[in-house]
Amino acid sequence: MNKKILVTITLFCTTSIANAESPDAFDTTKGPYPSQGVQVLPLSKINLPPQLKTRQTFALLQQKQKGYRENDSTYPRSLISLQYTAKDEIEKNKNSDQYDTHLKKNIADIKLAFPYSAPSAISPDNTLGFAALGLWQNGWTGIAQLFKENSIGVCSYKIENILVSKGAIQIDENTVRHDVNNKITTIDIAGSMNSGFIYTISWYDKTYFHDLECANLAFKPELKDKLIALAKKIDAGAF
Amino acid sequence: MKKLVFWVILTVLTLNHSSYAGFHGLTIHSRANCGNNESITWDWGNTWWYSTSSEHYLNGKLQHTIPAEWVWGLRSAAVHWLEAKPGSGWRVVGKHWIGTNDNKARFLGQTDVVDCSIYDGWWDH
Repeated sequence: MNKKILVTITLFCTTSIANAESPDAFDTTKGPYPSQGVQVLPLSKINLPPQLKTRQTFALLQQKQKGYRENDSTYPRSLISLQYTAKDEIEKNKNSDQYDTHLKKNIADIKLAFPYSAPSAISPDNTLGFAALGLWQNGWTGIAQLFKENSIGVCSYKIENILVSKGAIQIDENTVRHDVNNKITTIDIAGSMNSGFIYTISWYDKTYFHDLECANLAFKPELKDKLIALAKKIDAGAF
Repeated sequence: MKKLVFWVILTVLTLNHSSYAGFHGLTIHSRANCGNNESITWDWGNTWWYSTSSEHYLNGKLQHTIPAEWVWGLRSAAVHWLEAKPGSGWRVVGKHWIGTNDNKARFLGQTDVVDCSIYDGWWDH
């Protein structure tokens, strides 16, 4: 009887689970594959579920018309609240081990799998903390720097070393720009008047994937240019 | 009966252990011989379209793969519950993708492990 229960539980549990419903199969023939770097492709060749492509194509159109795509999310307020909660989080986790992904006061408090120093464009006085990202390869393959940028909002600069993580990305050719030092760049502004907005600029090179996200409760078209200017400074200073 | 109790306790422990990962961005990991064999992609603060597969090897041979599926949420986990008790010699290789809201498909990385030590830093927070 016990064996039957065990077998039943085991069979039931040999599945992929997630906090979501109605999964679509992932097409393993379309990539992106390890170490493939950056690929700029027509939307039809990007490996995403069809329903997502349809929804996102509408969202991109919305962004062109309104300057942002509608998205209700808790993320903007959660990022903004870090300016009040960061110190407490750092204090509570200052003695944690190397795998911990909570905020840390200094880069040196996080073991990274690659050499890294904070970009000079981000003031240490405005920095709220650092957190580990990516995967553990005898050190983390990515890091986030959380900081206040008075003219934009509360921001998170995330950098991932793709030589270590073997990361790769497929990007819709319709979204590609070259704002950041002529590197492949994308900009996404999403949010709602109710939930606030996330202004994201991403740029890519052969070694790193960069994402700079800034949260602001208001939609202000001029923040896009400020975001681009900050991204350029970060990129030029760090590399 | 003792065996059943052992597996139930192990299950409760592993469920707790697998609940934590990246608090300020995406993290990926696999764990082997933790009661479960599993690969997990996770972001505490943000939602994504995730796709995670998990290949499970024993004695150098692929026993089975939990295939990747697109799911929306804070986390995706490809898990074979109760497959591997501690020290049972499994190797787990995870592959982790996300889809972003501006039409990007991103391969986050591949995790390749033979133990479950990674959870030591996560489960107790």
